Amino acid sequence: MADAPYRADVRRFSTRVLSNTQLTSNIYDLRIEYAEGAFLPGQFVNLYLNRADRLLPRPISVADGGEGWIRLIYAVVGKGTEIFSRLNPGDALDVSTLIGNGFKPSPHGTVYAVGGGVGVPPVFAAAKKEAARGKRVVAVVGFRAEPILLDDFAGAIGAENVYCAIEDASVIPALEARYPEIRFALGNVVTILSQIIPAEADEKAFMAACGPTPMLKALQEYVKAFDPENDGRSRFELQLSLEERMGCGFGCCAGCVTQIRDPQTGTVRRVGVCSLGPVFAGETVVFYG
Amino acid sequence: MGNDAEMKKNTDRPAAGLDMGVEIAGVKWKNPITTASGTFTLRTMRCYEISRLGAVTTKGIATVPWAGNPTPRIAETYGGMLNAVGLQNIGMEAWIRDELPVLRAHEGLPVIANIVGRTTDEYAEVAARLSETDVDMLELNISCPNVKEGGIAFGTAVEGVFDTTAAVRKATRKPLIVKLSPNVTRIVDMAKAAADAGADALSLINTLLGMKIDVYRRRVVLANKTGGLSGPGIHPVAVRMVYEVRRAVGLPIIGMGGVMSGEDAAEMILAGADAVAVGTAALIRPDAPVRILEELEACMNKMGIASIRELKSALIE
Ligand SMILES: Cc1cc2nc3c(=O)[nH]c(=O)nc-3n(C[C@H](O)[C@H](O)[C@H](O)COP(=O)(O)OP(=O)(O)OC[C@H]3O[C@@H](n4cnc5c(N)ncnc54)[C@H](O)[C@@H]3O)c2cc1C
Ligand SMILES: Cc1cc2nc3c(=O)[nH]c(=O)nc-3n(C[C@H](O)[C@H](O)[C@H](O)COP(=O)(O)O)c2cc1C
Ligand code: FES
Repeated sequence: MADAPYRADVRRFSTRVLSNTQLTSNIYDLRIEYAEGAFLPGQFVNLYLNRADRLLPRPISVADGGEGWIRLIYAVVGKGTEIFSRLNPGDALDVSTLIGNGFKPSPHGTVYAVGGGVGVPPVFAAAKKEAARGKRVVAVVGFRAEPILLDDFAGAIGAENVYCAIEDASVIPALEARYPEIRFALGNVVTILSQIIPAEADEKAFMAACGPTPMLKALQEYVKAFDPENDGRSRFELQLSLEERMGCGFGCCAGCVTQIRDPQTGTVRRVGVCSLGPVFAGETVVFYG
Repeated sequence: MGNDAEMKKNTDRPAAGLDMGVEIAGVKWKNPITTASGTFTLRTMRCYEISRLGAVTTKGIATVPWAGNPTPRIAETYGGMLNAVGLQNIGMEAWIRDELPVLRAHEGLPVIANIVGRTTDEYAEVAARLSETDVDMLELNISCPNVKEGGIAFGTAVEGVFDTTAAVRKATRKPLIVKLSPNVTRIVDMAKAAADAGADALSLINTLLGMKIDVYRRRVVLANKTGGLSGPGIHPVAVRMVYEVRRAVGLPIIGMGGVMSGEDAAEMILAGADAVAVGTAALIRPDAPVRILEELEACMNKMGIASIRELKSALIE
């Protein structure tokens, strides 16, 4: 029998922009044609610029997807994302196949989807999927002043389950007027968690998180506080989605390592965010510095 | 969608009739394309059929696991990238146990183990241990700019190149490739020292030492401060060095440095390389090595050249 033709799992190919709309002063919502719309929340794709001065991939998490499309939500932070912001429907765009291990499905009945800034999109994907699996999902998201995806969260998990932390007090009244069912608080996601968690039933819960490193560190500490015996059995099963600078984005350069502690042996190893992550068990992540 | 068009290109076999085979230090490769060390892992098997290559070259292997440098390890530059991975590797025993058998399962694919050490003794120890395996060739990395000890410290002085090569030569009968650093004034002196100490082949170039500063953050980007520059921007430097070394020593040369296309590969061979390694290109395009192989064949057809041997002697001077 002839060998089955080889089909690479990791590929780069050209696709088309369906839409690219501005959500806030610096965040954009990009939809592209994409055959494999069935992604795992937490997975990402590499976007390529095809320019001599920008050869490396821009990894962006998949926020949503369906039949023939995916949705990527990105902040303009440098030259590459600035170029993406000028894409128009119909434009060609180079992209990779889906990369990475996503959030694992929650084994518990309650899911906390915790995100900060442009870490919110993959957490939205997880929230939507867990709600569809019949889990009770509570979203706790934080932004400086301009929230994104609040209507999407409300649609997927119910507005009464959406909490939003804002750092700039002056914008809160307007947000409360615009989203009357969503609860806003001044501060960060941990501020909100501390307010709402004691009121929750004392059962185990799953927590899927992505955001700036200080937020992830704070969450690690936060869930540890529920583990008074320090036996590793926190009330929360925390999963963190991490970011690192990438050379390839598909496991070939060892550029994107993070430090992970082996729960059995206690040894800390540097492992690829793109190959073994970007999602890792919260207690295993050893942050640099 | 685009996927399928790409797929087709991916699996189309080259025009027949070309003799792509080469022989490097007694080892037959079915074509001249290999991977550049540090840009190939077992994960590459998900990017293209590695058995289509002439050979595969591994990441640097040391006696024991090395943790490598902290992040950021990668920075983007005009026409390339800086890396300061720092030779993170799983150590020779784990490599022999976990990775070599997987590579060996690809019939007719020579495996080149790239080796590193902090001392001459460590280099010799890895070489001796790997000589007990059925690995096909060893590539001695005395040119990594990203570690304080070992690597480049050995590769930028004639005595260092000679002593390390001689020590490893004593430890192994495997075909020995010595990988040269471009961070020297006269590459030819290093090539001669390696040849005199018993190298069977040379590979060049490793990365050029560089640095990048983020202007608005006013910080050096790489945690290691400096890193190795690779990618299309360094290609002319590599071509020049291959050209110079070809005219100074008779050993087979594996040319590398910014090879992004079949034409770049042809250029290396015209300059005097016997084989060509693809590094950074494969980080940017997952199937770059096999694409470049196909493009090289197309390029040879266009030139009316039927074999690699012919291409190697085709430069008009
Ligand atoms: C797994 C993963 C998922 C991500 N998902 C999202 C997302 O959903 N939305 C979003 O807005 N951003 C996301 N990011 C961050 C995003 O990749 C960077 O903001 C983007 O690459 C910056 O490109 P630039 O050209 O605009 O910036 P520049 O500063 O010009 O980029 C220069 C180089 O730095 C790299 N770089 C800069 N910042 C980062 C960063 N934070 N992380 C990794 N590489 C960086 C770039 O890729 C490039 O190589 C993700 C990063 C990772 C690793
Ligand atoms: C991410 C990265 C890691 C590398 N690691 C190694 C290594 O472990 N050993 C080595 O000899 N060369 C290493 N190199 C150098 C390459 O093998 C090659 O010599 C160089 O990158 C030039 O080729 P290129 O421009 O095609 O990448 C590395 C290069 C890159 C980009
Ligand atoms: S970015 Fe290359 S291994 Fe992760």
